[in-house]
Amino acid sequence: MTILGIGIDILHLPRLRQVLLKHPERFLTRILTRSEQAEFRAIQAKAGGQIDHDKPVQFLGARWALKEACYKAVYPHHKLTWQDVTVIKENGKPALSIPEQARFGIGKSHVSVSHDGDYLIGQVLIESPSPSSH
Amino acid sequence: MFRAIRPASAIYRNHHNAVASALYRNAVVASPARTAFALNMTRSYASAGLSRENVEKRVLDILAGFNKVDSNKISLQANFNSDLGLDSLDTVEVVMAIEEEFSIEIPDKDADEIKSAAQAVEYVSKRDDAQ
Repeated sequence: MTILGIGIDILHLPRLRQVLLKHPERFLTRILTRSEQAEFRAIQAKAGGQIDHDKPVQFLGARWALKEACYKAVYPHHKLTWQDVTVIKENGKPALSIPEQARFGIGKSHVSVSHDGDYLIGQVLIESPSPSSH
Repeated sequence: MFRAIRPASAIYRNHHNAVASALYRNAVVASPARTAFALNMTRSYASAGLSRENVEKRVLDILAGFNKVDSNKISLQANFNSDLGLDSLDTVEVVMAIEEEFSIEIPDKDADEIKSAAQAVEYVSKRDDAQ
């Protein structure tokens, strides 16, 4: 196994909340893929429809931080965009889905997220593609 | 007041632009008659050819609206990150503000290349649907 790169991103959630309140539609369509947008809306609905409730903000924050961390892990091998990466849950753990990873020349990914109050941190490790797995 | 009423009209104009540009794209591969029709449509909704000065002023005003930005450092050439101290979240916000201001949608790939006011002005000037 060869490591292609690691990336990390820390986020102050109140800032994210402010941007979200200023651009409630466009911010979501820019950062989140379609399936993530649907998840966001479901979480928002559960939170009484409030877009800036802690739950939807944390959901968006984790995706922001993980996509940023993933970008850093892969750069400059490839320049990822927001829509290239979807954050999914595998056995209760966050994971990345990168449908075009073969074309981008990247292998398996490993992720971790941590929260403390207003701060959230995301970390991503990307492997080089292994000859046996594609 | 002005700010408050802006988003509604921006959405309205966006809608028409989307229709016009979709027609335009279709028309390119279709008949000349349809092309002419689509061009007229585009012309009636977009004020084609905003002056360079106009675009520059509006882009610089957007930057001046960011509390974080030192107004003395604002210039066309200033890099959002290294000169103005904007991070990736701020930069995404700047690009969204530009989209709203000019009633355009900027695709991810293009948005990633906008790292200074000059680059934003360059991009907006190339978009003839910018208003």
